Amino acid sequence: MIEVIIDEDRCVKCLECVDVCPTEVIVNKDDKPFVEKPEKCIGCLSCSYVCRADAIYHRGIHIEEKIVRNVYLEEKVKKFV
Amino acid sequence: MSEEVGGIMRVGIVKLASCSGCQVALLDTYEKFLEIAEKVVYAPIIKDNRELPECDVVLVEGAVRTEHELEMLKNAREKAKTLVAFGSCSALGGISSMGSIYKSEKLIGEVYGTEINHKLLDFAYPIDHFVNVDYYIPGCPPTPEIISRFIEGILTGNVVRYDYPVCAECGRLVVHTKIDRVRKTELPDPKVCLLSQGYICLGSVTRGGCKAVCTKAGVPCRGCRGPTDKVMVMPCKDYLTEIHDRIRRIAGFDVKFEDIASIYAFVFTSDMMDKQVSRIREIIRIGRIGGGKA
Repeated sequence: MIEVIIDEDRCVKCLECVDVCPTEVIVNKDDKPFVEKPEKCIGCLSCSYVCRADAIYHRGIHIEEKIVRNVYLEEKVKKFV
Repeated sequence: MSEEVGGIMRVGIVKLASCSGCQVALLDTYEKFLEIAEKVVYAPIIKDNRELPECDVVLVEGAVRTEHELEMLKNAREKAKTLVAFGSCSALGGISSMGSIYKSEKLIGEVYGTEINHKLLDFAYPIDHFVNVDYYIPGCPPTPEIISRFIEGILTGNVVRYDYPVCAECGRLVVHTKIDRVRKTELPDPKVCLLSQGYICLGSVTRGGCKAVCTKAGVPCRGCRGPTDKVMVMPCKDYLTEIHDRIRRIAGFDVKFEDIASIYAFVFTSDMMDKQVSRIREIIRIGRIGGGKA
């Protein structure tokens, strides 16, 4: 099962994740994003893709590793402090 | 400070095409700098040495603009065990790379009038265009906190990375609004996101760690720390597309390219931003053919 975790401290409440979620896992609750039905998550990672504050994480997902297309850049990025 | 901590005994600082601001920021770390002060064996701004000796860590400041600087850089790579790109100019091209939108002959003609002894390269390159780099510390300049945490990290062998954008530290709240133009001069609301108010703020695509000093003071982020991990790795993400997309979602209007052409100021020659969706090449080409403003 996929877990969706929203880091409250980092979130800036822009609600872009609510707009972009295709299965309405993340909903608008009191002007804050709220994970309502995590069992409906299909793991498209659109929410973490649009998140400007890098506040959304997924657990129990295995696709993330395969998204990387440029190995050279991936190695280089790890050297940035 | 004992010498055996982390095995680091010799630190060198090499200056290429830059303003020395990063070295001044290093001096601004006060007591942290004292930890390594005895170990600094070569630094043109602090010490009076001619030759760069064998070093464990060499901090390279500035972009590579002339052939002489290229030789200095290669020499530094030979002498250093760990080479660190220190500041945005050496890590990403930085402000020095903005000269790349003009032809070298035009630059020399504009500044000196005639030919000069040093031969200019065609662009001002970040140092990783020529040599391998072990760490990058972007920032214009990197804040003393970032530098002191890096020094701590390299002495203990555990370097801390800042993998989140400026937005995560800023604390301004996003409000969905309807605006019809880019704002530049008016005073912004202190609590509301600058993008919502129509300012071109690069906080959402820029690496954090600076404690968002600019945006907290009401100045839009100019992106001096360079792109975030996400923007660097994703091939379809670029400053222009991201900022354009966010402004349309949040403030409800389409910005013109002319209004936000300056967003690339710190990354002109970095290969991290050399993407299909990026318009850096176009800006360089226009600058070269027309010789006008980008």
